Amino acid sequence: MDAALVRQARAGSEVAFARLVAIHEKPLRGFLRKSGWIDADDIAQEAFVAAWSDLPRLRDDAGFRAWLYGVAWKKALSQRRGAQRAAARDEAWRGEQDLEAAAEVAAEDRLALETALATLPEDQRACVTLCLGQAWSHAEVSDALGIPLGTVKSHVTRGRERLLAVLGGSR
Amino acid sequence: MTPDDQLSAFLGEQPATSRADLFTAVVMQKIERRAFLGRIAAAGGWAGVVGLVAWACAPALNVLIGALAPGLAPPAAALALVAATLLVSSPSVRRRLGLATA
Repeated sequence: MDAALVRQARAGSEVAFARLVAIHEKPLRGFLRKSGWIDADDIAQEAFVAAWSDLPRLRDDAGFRAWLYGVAWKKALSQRRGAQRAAARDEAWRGEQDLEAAAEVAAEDRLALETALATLPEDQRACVTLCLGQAWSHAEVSDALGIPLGTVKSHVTRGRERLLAVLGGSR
Repeated sequence: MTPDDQLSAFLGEQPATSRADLFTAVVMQKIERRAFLGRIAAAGGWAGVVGLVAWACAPALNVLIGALAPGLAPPAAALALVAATLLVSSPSVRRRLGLATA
């Protein structure tokens, strides 16, 4: 489905690109938020704008999702390096970015998981979020984030162990 | 519900409020703004280039205009007269001036 929309968007169809935005915005914002970026919405918007400009450079139309997440990941990293974001944020805006709590996870487990997730290195956090949370393959994550495949696998294995240990320990 | 399922559910959480329409509108607005600024910058660049060329060619253009202007003045006056006649005699102008019969 992405491939057809990407082809139309590349041909100049803003309607097709808007459809792509509507399809991917929620999981992308969820990924960025889980990866610890407070300005997830801003980063996601900038990523989509950059994606529109760079669309002609995308070689594989079907690989739009991984490419988009890669663009967003680079934006997030460059934003941190630049440190140009305003520190003060509207609390209401923060509230809008809150994630929908999964019913399967108890409140105390959630707290423990959030704390543990925050302690993981950002690369590891991103790998774990995409592989375990959004069911991406290791290869997709490697491609999107520009991290070697072996590193992605070890990040996921170690991250999972750490998070599961916390989950078990909170009971 | 295994711990792995719980972990997946936790890591797969997405924004609570679906604001796809608003989000998409903001993104498309930013894209439009960027395209507009790009067009402005391109137009500004071209205007600068044309201005630079005109400035560089100013001596030659002055000579050219000086040579051509006297010869072009009578035809230009005739053309202006014809254009004015056509304009005044056009039905819409006559109607506005109240000169139309019906």
